Amino acid sequence: MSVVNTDLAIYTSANMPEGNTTIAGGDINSGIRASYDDPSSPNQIVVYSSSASDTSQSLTLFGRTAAGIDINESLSLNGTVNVTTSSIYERILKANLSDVAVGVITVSGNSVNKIADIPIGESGFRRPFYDATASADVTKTYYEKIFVKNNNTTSALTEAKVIPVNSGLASKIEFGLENNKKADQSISNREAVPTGIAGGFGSGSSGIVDSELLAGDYQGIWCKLSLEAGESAINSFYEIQISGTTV
Amino acid sequence: MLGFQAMSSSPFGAVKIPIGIQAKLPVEILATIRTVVEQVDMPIEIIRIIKQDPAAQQWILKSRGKQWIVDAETLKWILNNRNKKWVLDENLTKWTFDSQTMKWIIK
Repeated sequence: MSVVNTDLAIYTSANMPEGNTTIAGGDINSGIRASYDDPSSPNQIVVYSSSASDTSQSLTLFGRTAAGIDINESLSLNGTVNVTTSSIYERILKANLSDVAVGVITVSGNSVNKIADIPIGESGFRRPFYDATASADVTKTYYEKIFVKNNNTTSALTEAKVIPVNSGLASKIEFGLENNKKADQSISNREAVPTGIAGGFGSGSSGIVDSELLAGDYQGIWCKLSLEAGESAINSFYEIQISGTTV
Repeated sequence: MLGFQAMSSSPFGAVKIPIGIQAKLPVEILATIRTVVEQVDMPIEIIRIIKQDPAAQQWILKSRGKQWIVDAETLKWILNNRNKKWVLDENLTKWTFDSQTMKWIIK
């Protein structure tokens, strides 16, 4: 069975800090994805399942209002029926299911774009560099780790590459591939420099170790966010392509 | 005699198909804004400090023509000057100006 687009996913690492003093990195967290969309305009958020059986779980949603205020809500799933937040979200920071669902959980803006689908067996999504703050006086550099995984159970992605896209925060984020696949290296905090990246950090196309992602294989990608002193606040994105070939 | 030979599927089966995804990872940057505090002269003079130990300072306040009063409920010194209001905290380590907490700076 050929690898298809939906087999390739970007996941977070086990330790995704929300401040500058806790551990970052580690092994893959195959339940939490790092890729999703913010609502196209501030809006209430709607949650529903593809299965009527999903009534016992709740989804906790964290985000910000247009004024930058942190907000969160816990929504009890009601099967395929829409459950709507009471607050209006300008951006989503993270979403966590209390327990994995029977169906696919869709998180969407209310009458605007879809935020993400949470696949069966997974538990949510979140953004990297949570609460990363620029200093007024000095440059700041943050490191966090994500993974690309091939969820196909039989086929490999060959000639596999990571290619950053020149959009969003491409000028501020570089990446480096871990020397070994399925590596679980962590750093004491996200301001510490990770090791085990022989190719260093850069913003060009980079071949995945051994140029392939076997069935179920995953590759760690350290991301480096460089902020100038006095950097302005921005809500944006980092975009990467994962490409390769399949039989 | 003409015969028919089925085409092997293997040459086509070996063809590799290019595949890829483009993933968008939301990232926000929070800015640190320098706090700008307007300097407001507080219209008092400290004419005497009885400092027997650091924890037991006593202040005697003298206003320049304005009257400080002690709030009967909070026991805080309060000076209302036109639309401005200064309040000395009971522990005498900070004061508030129009409800904003500020630190004492003695020059």
